[in-house]
Amino acid sequence: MNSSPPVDEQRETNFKREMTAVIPHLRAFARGLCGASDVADDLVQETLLKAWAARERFEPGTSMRAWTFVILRNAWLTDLRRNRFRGEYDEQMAERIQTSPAEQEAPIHLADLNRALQALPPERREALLLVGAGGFSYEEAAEICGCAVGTIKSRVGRARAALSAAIETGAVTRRGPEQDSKAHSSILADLDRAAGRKIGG
Amino acid sequence: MDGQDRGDPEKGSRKKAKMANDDKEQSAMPPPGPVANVESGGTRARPPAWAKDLRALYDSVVEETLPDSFMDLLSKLDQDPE
Repeated sequence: MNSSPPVDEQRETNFKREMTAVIPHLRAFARGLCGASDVADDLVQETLLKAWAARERFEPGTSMRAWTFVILRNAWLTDLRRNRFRGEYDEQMAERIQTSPAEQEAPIHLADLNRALQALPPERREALLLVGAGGFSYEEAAEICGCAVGTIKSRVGRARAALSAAIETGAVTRRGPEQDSKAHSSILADLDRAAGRKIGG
Repeated sequence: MDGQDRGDPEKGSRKKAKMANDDKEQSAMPPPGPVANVESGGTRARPPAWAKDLRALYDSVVEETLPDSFMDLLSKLDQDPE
């Protein structure tokens, strides 16, 4: 038997090029799911190996990003079921973000947002990441998660409401001048009220 | 709405006034965006302020330089086709 025909070789080259191109997106999705970058990168590496092993099943011309996201998601869920991340993990991650800001390239408020994100139930976090960060449509997200479009909409809606609430109520601590100025203006408002009604009129 | 009015020629002047009004109201309304089709899940009409931060969080990772470990893995795939 001769070596594999050139058609297959070409196909494999294309596959690899496309897969390489979506690695940054896989990392971003995984980071959103896992929180910590080292855990996320491990998950992406696992995903790449699985995607490569399953490359025959990829249909050229379809979305490589969606296809690999499904693989990444399945690997992540398997890890979740094994309880490798659950419970202790959230605390561990939150601590890591708090204690090693050097690793965090994003500004502080993004780290806060990330913390709020990690506090969401996994299926809502994933839905919000796909639609709100990855830019997938509800239909595409539903396909990736293997569930109904309505389910995705509901999960995204609940995730949004929870994040808004967490940020508004300060469950996610906002540090820095913004909060200081808010406190400051609230004190000023109290003083104004105490001084009488001349300002309000 | 316009279709109903069109079948009623006697109300010409009223129709004109009404249409002018409609135009004004329409231009004052926010453009229908992706928020318009979020009907379930209790989301608000407007995207929350952190929505662009979430996108920024994602994009910040996308723009990171790829760690060497990924290049190592990719080159291993080349060497070991099976």
